[in-house]
Amino acid sequence: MQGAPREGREMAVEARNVAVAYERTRDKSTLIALENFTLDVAEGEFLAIVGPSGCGKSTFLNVVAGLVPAAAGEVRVFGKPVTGPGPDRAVVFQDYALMPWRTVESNVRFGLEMQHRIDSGTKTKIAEYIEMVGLTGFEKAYPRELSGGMRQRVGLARALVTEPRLLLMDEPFAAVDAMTRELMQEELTKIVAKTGQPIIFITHGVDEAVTLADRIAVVTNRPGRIKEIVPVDLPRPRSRASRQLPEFQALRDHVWDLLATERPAKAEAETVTAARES
Amino acid sequence: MATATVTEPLLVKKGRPLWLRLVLRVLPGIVSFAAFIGLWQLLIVVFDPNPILFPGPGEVGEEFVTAWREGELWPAVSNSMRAMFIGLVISLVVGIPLGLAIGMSPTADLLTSPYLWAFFAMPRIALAPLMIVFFGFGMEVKIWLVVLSAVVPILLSCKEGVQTVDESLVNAARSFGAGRLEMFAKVITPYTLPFIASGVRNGISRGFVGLLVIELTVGSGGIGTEVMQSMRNFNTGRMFAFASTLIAIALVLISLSRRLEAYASRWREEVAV
Repeated sequence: MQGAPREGREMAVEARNVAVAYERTRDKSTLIALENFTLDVAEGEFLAIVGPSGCGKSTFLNVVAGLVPAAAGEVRVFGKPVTGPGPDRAVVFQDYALMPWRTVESNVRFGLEMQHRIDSGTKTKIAEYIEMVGLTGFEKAYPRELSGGMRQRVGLARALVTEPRLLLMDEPFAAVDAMTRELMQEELTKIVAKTGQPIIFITHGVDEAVTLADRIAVVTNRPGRIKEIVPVDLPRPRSRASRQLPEFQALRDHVWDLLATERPAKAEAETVTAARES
Repeated sequence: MATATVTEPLLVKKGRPLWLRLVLRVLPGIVSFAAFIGLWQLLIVVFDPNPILFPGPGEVGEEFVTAWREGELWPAVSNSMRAMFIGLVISLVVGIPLGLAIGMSPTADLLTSPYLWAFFAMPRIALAPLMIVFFGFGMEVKIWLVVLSAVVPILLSCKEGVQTVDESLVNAARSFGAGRLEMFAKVITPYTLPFIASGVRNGISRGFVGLLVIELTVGSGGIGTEVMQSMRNFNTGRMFAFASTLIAIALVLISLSRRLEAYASRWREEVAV
């Protein structure tokens, strides 16, 4: 059972007292996105991070990805301090971030190209991952020809094909419609059961977090800190039916209660900007 | 695996045979051209103007054939096109890399921007006298004016392209460990391609104007010079013949460059026209 990380188990991510600050472009004031952010992710664990918008949860993901440097504290991924992006990690982005001039196939290839890992087996591997995300038949399609859900399947395949040891997902299903989201959640569960790597999954959706995660880290208002880590001890596989379980509802209510006291303090417009900045 | 969100991709349109599609494609042009000639002839018939002031399509056609037979048409066309082509190649070779470089460096942008925009806004005709002083009356001066006219729009377009590169694409590439070179080759350049193409289109039309300015004023050979000479001899038919050749060439160049642009932008959701 995947619960709280146990002693002796290898840690995928160890974040200690991480702080990140941005300078606002508008008035040059400092915006502290994260402060004293401490969090562990165990090998094989699915960790969801929820929090009010602008709380810095995406910033944390970017720090782990090596895209944003930490101003203070330390992040280790599989024991090694993060100094930048690396092939041991791959990110799935909220806005898909697909190269619009590349076909599905070529987009999936993109990460491997950047990592100089193109060889004779690449073609088969790409086909395999395209099949895994259910896009067989769409290899030659351009992103503009695909729905949001399908684009994110491409984003997922692009990340998975590099066989990362850690998968980072930044609100991956936030921009797709509710029905597609449900479907994608189910499929993601099946896919990660096969690929097996630990996942940090940023989301706004409490239901989504409870459905997918082994543990849920609830983050406070900006500057973001861990408010509570909620273990999700629901049996797997979880389905839509699981949501009817009283345990599910109790967990969901608990997470909602934690969030309710963390309403964004300032105007929504500002938090939106902050979220973009992060 | 279930694919509830799947939409049918890339439906290939079948139907009309190739010959019919070709005919349908050129037919509107032919009809419109015929209507234009007809209207022209109608004006001649109705108003019966002095053919020296306003020749009919018949006279112009005749002059066209004469110019062709006497071997005057082709040398003029090739002369103009050579200047245009060489000037354009120089503009591309200079403008594209420079534009990309300036786009990537905020400092370079800050330093060069005012000059570039001033140059962009200034009518190139103003430079013609200076260029004549520098380069005389031959081929060289034409090439230079084409370059001066075309290089800045090309450069500015490239710069703009680089500066509008989608930040999320850059981040995605970084997350996979892209270095500077890969970022440039696999993100920035492909993203900028439609901008480069629109710069080329702009450069062609502006370069063409620059070329004509010299040809009309200096008499350095080429179609513009022939137009000017015909006018001096009051041979309006010949003048129209050369002017129409010019228009035809301009149309071909513009349509080619628009096609190039459409091709470069085919992946974009909204295609700039």
